[in-house]
Amino acid sequence: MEWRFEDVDEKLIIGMNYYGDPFSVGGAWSVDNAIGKLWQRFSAYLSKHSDQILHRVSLDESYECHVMDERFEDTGEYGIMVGVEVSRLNQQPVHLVSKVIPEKKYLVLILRGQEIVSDQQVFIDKILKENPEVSVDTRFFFEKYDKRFKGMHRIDESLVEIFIPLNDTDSHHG
Amino acid sequence: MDNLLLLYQSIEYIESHLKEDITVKELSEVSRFSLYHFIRLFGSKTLFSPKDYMNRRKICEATKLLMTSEMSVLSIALEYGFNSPETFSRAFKRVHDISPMAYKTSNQSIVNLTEPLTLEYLSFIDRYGIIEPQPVTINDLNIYGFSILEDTFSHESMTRYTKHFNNDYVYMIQSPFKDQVLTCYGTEAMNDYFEIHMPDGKYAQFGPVSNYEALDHLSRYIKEVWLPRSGLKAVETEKQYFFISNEPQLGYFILLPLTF
Repeated sequence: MEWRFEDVDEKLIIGMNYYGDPFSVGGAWSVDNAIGKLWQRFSAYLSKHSDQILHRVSLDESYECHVMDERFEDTGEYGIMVGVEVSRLNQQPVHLVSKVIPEKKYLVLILRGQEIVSDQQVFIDKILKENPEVSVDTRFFFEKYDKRFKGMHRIDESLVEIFIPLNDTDSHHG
Repeated sequence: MDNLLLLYQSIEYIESHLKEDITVKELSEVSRFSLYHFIRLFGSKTLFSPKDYMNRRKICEATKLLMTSEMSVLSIALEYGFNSPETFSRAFKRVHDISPMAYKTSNQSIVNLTEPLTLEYLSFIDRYGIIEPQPVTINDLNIYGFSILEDTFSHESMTRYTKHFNNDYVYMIQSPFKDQVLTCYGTEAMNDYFEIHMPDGKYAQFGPVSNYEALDHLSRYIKEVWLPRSGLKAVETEKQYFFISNEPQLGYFILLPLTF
């Protein structure tokens, strides 16, 4: 598994969101769970109304953001948003919601094949052990998907980048 | 230790702390996964979310207590860690589609209970994943055979009795009867034994699975996972129709009569 520290500029994402336990309606890594259905919903919107999304940064990249609040540890419920990056939020379709990904330093995991469905905390723990001067903010992370991701049915040929924010006190490292 | 065994430790932990208010974080620590990975893994290996499974297990045991004891709804709610009778009532209604008090006075038999997940059942789910049935229509089907009343259904008796038939397929219909299980074995071919009529209509055909044990697990999957998720209702929730091939390589099926 490859990884890097990366300074990421603020990203404006617009898309669709879900709050709850996404796996209560379908197993993990299944297109039938709430995340799979969220992607299906957003993809259907994109296929019909992509022209309504203005100022899109890239046609190849899309994002999946995970935000955990206080309920997460108790119930396993959290927020998920899928979307695409835009350079401006004004005049965007009312059917979509937006999220501002903060500008900061991130730990980026480059996951290939079965690494994508493994416990990524194992990788994170190993990296943090080798880099004791940094720590990660576990309340939020996002995944970047591009042409290198071939779908869950071709997971062995796929690649995903996961961005985990470093805590602010550690931002001078890297 | 493989993922299934690690995950099973959280199932055992739930059983031993059923009357306590435990968090998903605690379960992830018992299984030695990160919280995030645990939630994903639990969902994929059990087809329940951890919180939903915990609630269903509590409701299962609370339902048994409600039906077999003189304890009040409040006492039972508190016994199983629900903060108030209202919280308990909402959780109960979500599972049984009826309030606890109405259930107690209705004389309904206990159905739709989530018993503890076993390692064998988890292995079955791991192997088959989400199983979708084939829709089939049955018109005026009479089964001729015999029935056996037993304390509990056993695979041994099934093996013994299905051997009586030389036809390609044997039907097996199970119904609870008092405290026993009435199992009817039969085929479509006419013979001297008594007749069972399978109601006309739409059936969901599940399978094939490869052995009797898997058939048990499939039956559980249908009741606990497929029916609640499909939003469909079985015509008779207590009766199960099994359609069993006498050719081992063809496997075993379950036919479930449905209202669409």
